[in-house]
Amino acid sequence: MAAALLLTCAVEFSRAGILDTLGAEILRPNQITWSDLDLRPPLAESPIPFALAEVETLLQAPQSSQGTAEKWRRRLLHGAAEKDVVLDSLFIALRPARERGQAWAEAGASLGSGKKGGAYSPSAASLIRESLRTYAGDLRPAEWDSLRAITQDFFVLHAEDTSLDAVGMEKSRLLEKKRSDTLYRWAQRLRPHHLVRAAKEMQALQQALIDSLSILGPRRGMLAAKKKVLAAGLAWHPGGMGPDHHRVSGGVWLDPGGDDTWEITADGKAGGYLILIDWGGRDRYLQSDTSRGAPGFGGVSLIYDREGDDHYLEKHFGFSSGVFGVGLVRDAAGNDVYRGQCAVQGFGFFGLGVLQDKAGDDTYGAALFSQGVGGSSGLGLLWDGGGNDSYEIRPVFVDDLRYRDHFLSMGQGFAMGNMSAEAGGIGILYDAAGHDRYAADIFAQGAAYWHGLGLLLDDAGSDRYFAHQYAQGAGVHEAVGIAWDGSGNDTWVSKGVSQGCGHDRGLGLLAEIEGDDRYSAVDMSQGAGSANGLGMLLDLRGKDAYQAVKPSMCLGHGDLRRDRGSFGFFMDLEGEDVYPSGFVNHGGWRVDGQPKRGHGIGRDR
Amino acid sequence: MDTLFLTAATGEPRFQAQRDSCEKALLGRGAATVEYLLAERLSDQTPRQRRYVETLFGLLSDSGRVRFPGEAIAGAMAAVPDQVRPQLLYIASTMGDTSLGKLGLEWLTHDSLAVRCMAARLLGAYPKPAYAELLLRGLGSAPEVERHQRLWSLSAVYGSKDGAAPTEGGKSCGRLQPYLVDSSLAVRHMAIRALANCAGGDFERIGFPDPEKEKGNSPRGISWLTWMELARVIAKPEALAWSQKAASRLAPESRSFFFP
Repeated sequence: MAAALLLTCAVEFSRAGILDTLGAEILRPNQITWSDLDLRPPLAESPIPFALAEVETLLQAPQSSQGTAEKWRRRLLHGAAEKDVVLDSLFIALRPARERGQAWAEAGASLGSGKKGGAYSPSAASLIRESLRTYAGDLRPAEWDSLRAITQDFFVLHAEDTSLDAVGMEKSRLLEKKRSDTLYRWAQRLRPHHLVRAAKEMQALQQALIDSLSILGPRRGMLAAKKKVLAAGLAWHPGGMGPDHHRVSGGVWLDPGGDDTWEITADGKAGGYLILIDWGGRDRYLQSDTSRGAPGFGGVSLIYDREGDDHYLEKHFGFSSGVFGVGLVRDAAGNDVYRGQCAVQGFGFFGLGVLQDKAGDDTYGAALFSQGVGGSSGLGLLWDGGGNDSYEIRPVFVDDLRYRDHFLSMGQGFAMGNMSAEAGGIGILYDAAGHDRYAADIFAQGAAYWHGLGLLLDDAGSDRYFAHQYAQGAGVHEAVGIAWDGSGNDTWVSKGVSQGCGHDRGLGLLAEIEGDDRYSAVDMSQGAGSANGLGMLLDLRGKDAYQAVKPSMCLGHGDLRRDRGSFGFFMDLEGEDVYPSGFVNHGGWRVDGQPKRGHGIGRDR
Repeated sequence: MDTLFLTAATGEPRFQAQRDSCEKALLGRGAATVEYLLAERLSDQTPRQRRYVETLFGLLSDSGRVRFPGEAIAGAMAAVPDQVRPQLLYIASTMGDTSLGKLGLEWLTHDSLAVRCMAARLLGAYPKPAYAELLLRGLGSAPEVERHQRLWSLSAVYGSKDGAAPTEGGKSCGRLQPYLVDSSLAVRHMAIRALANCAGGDFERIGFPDPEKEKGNSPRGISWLTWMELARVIAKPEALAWSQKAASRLAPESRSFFFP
């Protein structure tokens, strides 16, 4: 049923040709070409370090954003009957626009031709060890230690520190800049294709072990698995059929059943590996010590849980965080609870962090940089296959720069870079089915900052999206934010710079394919461009209701900044819709002639 | 001085009181602050600090009533590198000190595109009829970004008190019309505004095509849609009446945006 639904959605997406329709319905009739919408600064001085090709292409050619959403769905679902995440296809997405292009391209080429994960062979174990050793050897141990400390400060400690005065903050900023310069300089020395190769081989080994248990059953399967692991010369840690308490830092761990407790701590060294398979029971995964970073820091960590209502309790840099490494969690069934603080539930920074939960009514809770977040050269993915899920970013870190009563979220399909310097990565939250609830505050739900791509894809179900600012398809400061909902009667609520808003040469797109949807915003939303940005709200079908406190700044609005117009496009293609006064069904509107206005255009067909 | 600047430049609401008092102190130090900004704060800025430098110069100049900040910028221009010059010119264009227009003249033909663009902006910020010819000259060969900026300034020059006088603006209207078909939307957008101001809102001076007599889709090579946009920017009764008459000449898919 779910598979059929997914297929239907995929066909609908490509049939919709939604941006082609925008071209026909809005651009051409108003003598606007796609090349007019090139968002790159006309006087850009130098390329942005660590910029990804995918993001730069979108900023140059916003019309490819439709292809981006479709491409990601294909990438995630491609050739996988069981819809298991395929690391290969994710690595390829991290292709840099310029420098270091060779490294990731090589990784992509080496992975592109193989089938899913590749087949495991015993000799692969030496390849795994050798690749990880080489990768870890690119930096000295002390440099890895510094990387770990700096990364923690980036994504955890600094955000918590609101006690500094203005001068203290500046000093801290300058210090942080020095440290970040160091971090990025060292990152240049890493050759990620070694990491990619190890991850690919490890995923193949993990799959081979899973296959053994699937085919032979837990008891005989354990014996076969043991043989494979020992033959490969890897450390073998078996569990029993009853409830076990495992203390894990690395190696290969298999537990055939029982309600287990997994206490997982990174070993603190680069080049480590962890393969963990839990075959049954209601399990608890605990991150007892965060000082040594994520299990996937500088190495590869792959966790698979076959069934049961499980709890994943993390703090910072959890099980599905890839920081200069790969962290992958796959949970195949059960109503699961994921709870963490910072940089968890699909977080990638110079690496891949993937959380895939294939079924069940799941609950995701975190505080910052979580639920599909990508930092520089990183990809964070949270992929939920079905069930009525709840995604929440808790109000923990006050958004000190703007508010006293709102909180930074930076999650749920979010990517960010280091503004005016290093580019961001790719953050994706993909939910395939179910009636879901998304709650966040500032920066969330398909949003990005400084040359990143944030993507929220929800295929089916009547969903509710709540945020306050920079959310729901918001690209901020030369970044791309896309929110894409396939079907269901959805509710979108945010205050501003949301619901298809591009700010400061950013691209924001909110695309709604089907359903009777409701949109509520205050200003600068619903197809709004600010400071030379491009925002689009495109709704294809259904009887929709649009509510705006300041309608003149919504529903197709563009301001004028740096003496140039911004672009805001609104398009509703079907149904009798409800609008604020001044907007009409079956008509068009545009703002002309006002000195402070750019290009704001709307169309209801 | 660092402490004052850093505190004043911060944006956090919780620092509002400190910010205000530091800003007051910076303004009180007048010339010393200007000297400090020019020496220390034009490089290695955060985006917020960059913005604050611009704001502070504006406050120091008190809408052009105080001259020394502008004089200091003019004096510094020759010595600073090309990367800094556009920001100084931009700051000069926002200070309200009309004497800074001459700085635009000085840098309008500089090698650096970014410098030329901001020099052109300066002429528009302190418009004089005499600048029109300078801005028009070389407009055709300028890159898109400079073409756009010059038209922005022309729009300001023609929109100024004396700019659209028949002897000044009127004779230039014809020279602006080619930019109504520019390949760049931003340039067309600005050309429409410049032309509307050039004609001083005088509908007749532009010579709109007669919708009933013109046969083609592009009178004088300009689409009906662009004529329509121009009429709506002029926005005088006769221009709006013309747009009603010309509605039938728009393609049906375009018409609904103007006449919902």
